[in-house]
Amino acid sequence: MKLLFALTVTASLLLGASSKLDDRTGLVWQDNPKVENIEKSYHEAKQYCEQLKTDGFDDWRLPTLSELYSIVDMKRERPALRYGFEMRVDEWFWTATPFAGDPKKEAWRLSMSYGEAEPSRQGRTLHVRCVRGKRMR
Amino acid sequence: MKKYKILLLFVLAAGIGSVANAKGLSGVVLDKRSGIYWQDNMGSKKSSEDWDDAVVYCDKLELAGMEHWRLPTFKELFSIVDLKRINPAINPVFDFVEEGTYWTSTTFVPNVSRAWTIDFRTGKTFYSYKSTDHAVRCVKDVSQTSAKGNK
Repeated sequence: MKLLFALTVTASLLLGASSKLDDRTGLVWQDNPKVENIEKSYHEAKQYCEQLKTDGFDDWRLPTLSELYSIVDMKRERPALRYGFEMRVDEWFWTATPFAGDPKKEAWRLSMSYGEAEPSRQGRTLHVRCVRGKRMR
Repeated sequence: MKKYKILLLFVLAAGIGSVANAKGLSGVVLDKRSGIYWQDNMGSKKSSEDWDDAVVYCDKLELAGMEHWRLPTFKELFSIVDLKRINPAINPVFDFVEEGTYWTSTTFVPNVSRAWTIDFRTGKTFYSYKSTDHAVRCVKDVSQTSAKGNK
């Protein structure tokens, strides 16, 4: 198990140019130019993450709002993104969290400009940063 | 492996409602995860203050035998949002909830005349002008109160 862990860490370090491990949460974040270039609707974004193959892993998913907030740094702006990420996009991002007021039509989006979050129509096309690891909340 | 276990514990603790009504303390909710007491009385429902007055309101608050409360940080206040609910979108342990916007202590860095707020009708987060009136729910660090009790 220790060996497996060591191998995983080594593999991430060797191949990990496209993603970033967050030591505090244990989550691994997509961090390649696709984060900057690709925009999707909510359902496309979910599918896109589930089909993503990056750094030899295929267990990517769309982050929840709480998870995406874990990489927000409100002492920074445009983007309000924690230190260490290569892709620093100052735009709205999709989260997997449906809006409880209209879960079929709306989901939560988070602005990386300052860190504000609001419900948004699921048809809107926004940026996507996929995540791997144990779901937080 | 140990790392995983600690992480798993953390995830479990975050998932299970670790916010509970503090036994024997009326008007207060104990949040074990964050190590804070939350105000939960008529004041946390009926309050409407601008940001400066909200800071003073918490500092002057006396509740369950405790003095000198403070405004919660954005992170603290967001931790009691329940996005599976609406009107209000708050952890159901809280009884006194204004269906409206609440202040946090977190100043909006790009413009210090604003501070972060959370609208508990939906959970929407935004930066409001500090001159606006919003509801207030104060917090008190548990560590601080036990330190006082040990004296």
